[in-house]
Amino acid sequence: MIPPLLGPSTLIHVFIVIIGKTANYAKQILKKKKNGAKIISLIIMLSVLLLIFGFFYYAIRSSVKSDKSNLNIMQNLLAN
Amino acid sequence: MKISILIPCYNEELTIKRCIYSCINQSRPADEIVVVNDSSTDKTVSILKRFGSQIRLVHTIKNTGNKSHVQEYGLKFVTGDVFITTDGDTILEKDFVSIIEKDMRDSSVFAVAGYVRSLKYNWITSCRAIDYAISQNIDKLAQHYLNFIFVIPGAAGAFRTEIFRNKILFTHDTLTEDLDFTYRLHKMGYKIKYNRKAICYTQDPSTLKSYVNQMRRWFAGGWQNFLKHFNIPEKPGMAFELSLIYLEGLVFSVLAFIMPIINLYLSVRIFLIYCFIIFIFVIFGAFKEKRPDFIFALPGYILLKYINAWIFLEQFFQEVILGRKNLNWFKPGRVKI
Repeated sequence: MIPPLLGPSTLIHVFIVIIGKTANYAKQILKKKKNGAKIISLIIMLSVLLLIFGFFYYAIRSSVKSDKSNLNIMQNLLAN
Repeated sequence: MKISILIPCYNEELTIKRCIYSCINQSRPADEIVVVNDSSTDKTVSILKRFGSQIRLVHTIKNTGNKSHVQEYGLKFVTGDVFITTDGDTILEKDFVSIIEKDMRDSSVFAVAGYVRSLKYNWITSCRAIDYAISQNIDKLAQHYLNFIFVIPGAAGAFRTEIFRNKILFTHDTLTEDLDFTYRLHKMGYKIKYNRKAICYTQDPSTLKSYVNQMRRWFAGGWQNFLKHFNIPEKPGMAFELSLIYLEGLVFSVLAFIMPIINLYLSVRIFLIYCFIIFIFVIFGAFKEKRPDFIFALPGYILLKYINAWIFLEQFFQEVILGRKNLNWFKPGRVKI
């Protein structure tokens, strides 16, 4: 059965695949079955993962900062 | 290791010849090809007879109208240690049997799920091919890492014969027997391997009417299996996937139709973002399958997604809310391959 809509499940699956493939490559490198292409792929995947997490961290942090500054403005208005 | 291929068929005169040739011309020949004719009324039997001793042709006593009945009957004649299931409209890639043999050499593997590609015909089959490309290269791969393959496709599956015969009873109480088998195998703790190199090419509906009817069967079968296997699964990966797919399907299908009524401006913005995300995935699919025609099928693909959502809700209402168990098998029309 194919999911009816392309939804968050597909995006979640993308993360799982990236993490799974990264773990597999890391395992193979640790077992010394390395080759140049696998090491480069591993570095790229780790960078992508870092970028994605960095993006979410930045987005959440900006959102929290923006909420805090809005809260301060509201408090000032109410005090006045 | 003796490997059999089991092919149930009914009125497959346009496609069965190429299907059988692909089974015969394997790099590692199958030891046995069992073709089960479900009382076809067209030229299927005369075409099959021309293959002589290269296949074992058996006939059901009367038309069963249901693939799982035909498979159950055909399994009695299978003598291989491993049997591959495929359909009468499907072409196996040349090294399909060889790849299955390699996977089955691992005694811990009970079943193998292959990779299905849709034969090119028109924009509807292109849309189906997009779905296959995304679901098999992203969803199914993630399920592989979660140790829960959602479904072993009926057109590209392989099983250990004796264990299947003794432990898996055919129940014929759902419209998607492949989903039923797969869930039961997971509950019994059998290992299912997913191999993207075991490729087959299948014919998918080429008209909107037959597409809609097939989706009705798939989603009805999906809900029937959901209700049948609803016991809390022990595998965390299984619980996660089932919740994700069914819950997401339900929630987002409802939202897709209610949002425009609640807030048209917001729903247009969300729709445009959704189209952009689909575009990215379609590009991924086109690159992966080397099918540039996917790009041109994009508008049709978005339309079919909304049709899917409607049918998903319709079948949820019929199977879950009303409890109507529809077991009428729908067979899409064939085109010559």
